[in-house]
Amino acid sequence: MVEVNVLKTQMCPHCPRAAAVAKKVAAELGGVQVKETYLDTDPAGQEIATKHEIMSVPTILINDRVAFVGVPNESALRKAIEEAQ
Amino acid sequence: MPAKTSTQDVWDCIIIGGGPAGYTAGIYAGRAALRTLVLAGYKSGGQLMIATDVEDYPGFPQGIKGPGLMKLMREQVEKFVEKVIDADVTSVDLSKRPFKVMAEKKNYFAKTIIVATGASAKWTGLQNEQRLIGKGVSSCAVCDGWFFKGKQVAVIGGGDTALREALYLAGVTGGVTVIHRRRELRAQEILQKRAFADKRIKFVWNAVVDDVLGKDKVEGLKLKDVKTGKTSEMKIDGVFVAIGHTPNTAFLPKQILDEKGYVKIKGGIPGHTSATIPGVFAAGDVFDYTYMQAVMAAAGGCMAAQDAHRFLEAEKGGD
Repeated sequence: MVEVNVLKTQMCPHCPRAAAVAKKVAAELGGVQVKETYLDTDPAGQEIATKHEIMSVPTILINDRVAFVGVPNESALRKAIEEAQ
Repeated sequence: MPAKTSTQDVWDCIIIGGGPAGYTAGIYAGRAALRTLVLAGYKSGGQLMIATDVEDYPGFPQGIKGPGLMKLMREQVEKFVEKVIDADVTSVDLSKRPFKVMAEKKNYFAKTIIVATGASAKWTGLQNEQRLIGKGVSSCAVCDGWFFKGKQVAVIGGGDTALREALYLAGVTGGVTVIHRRRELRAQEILQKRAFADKRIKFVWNAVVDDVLGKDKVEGLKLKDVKTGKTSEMKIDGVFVAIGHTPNTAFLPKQILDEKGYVKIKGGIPGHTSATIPGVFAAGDVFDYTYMQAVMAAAGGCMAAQDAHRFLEAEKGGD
């Protein structure tokens, strides 16, 4: 099972799109778990931000590694997830 | 009635872009009974999605958040067009009709196309700036301002966007320095007044960024005085780039673009928004590098949809 974690903040306007793309690709591929984490309000998110030194959202982690900063396009995300599978 | 051929579905109008220009074009095209598809792209909403308070769009005397305004426009366009898809267009074939539009590996066909892909924030192009995007370099204050709580940040630029970013960042960071290559700002007077009155915002005039310093994250900037040529370094934790825009036209054939990459339009009335290929129209910042306002983009969308409608009617008449 590949874990895709969409990191976001409350004010970030592009983050919902990033999450939507992740969910769409995950549904198509199967075997993918999509999580969404607020870095500004969720204590676990703040730990992730510190650990990965995140300074921009949306950021997408695949299996706990930074894979994309910004909204990825579907094909790029699909390819990255397939490589992690 | 939907126009269909045995092998392909042909739309009356495909609108490429999901900002004020694209959505307004959709509203008008849909209401003109054109069978319309909007390919809004992954960044649907356009540049207003990163705007904090929009105070100059008529009808909102109290101001409105950029994403809020785009949500309303999206709702409105969805009422009138057959379909809105959030997919990025990767290429187009305008060499024959119907035109072919490719988005996320799917082909769509149309009798007319309205290009409304807008413009994106321009980067300085410095190698270290590109390397440190997401590591202290950003072009979106409302997205990334939070990461610089209590820290010092710089904003590069002197236009409306630069000052809006600076004013937003002043409230969430430990202090802002605006770096501008001239002694005067281009921004609207009202924004200048607010920025000059805000003690948390400092200005460095006549300076350009020569380099972004830092190994794994931004630690400072190397500045160059444009008058004396002298360089200096300043310590900074984040840098927000707001030096202008570049049109989102990489997927278009070069023949319809000017030397800066903007779509060339006919101008004049009627047919103002016609591109150099008959049946192709443009609206918003994708051709407009002068006004660059949401209200102009919306107006352009209205014109482009009417121009497309008129074009199709004229073709029908010529049959």
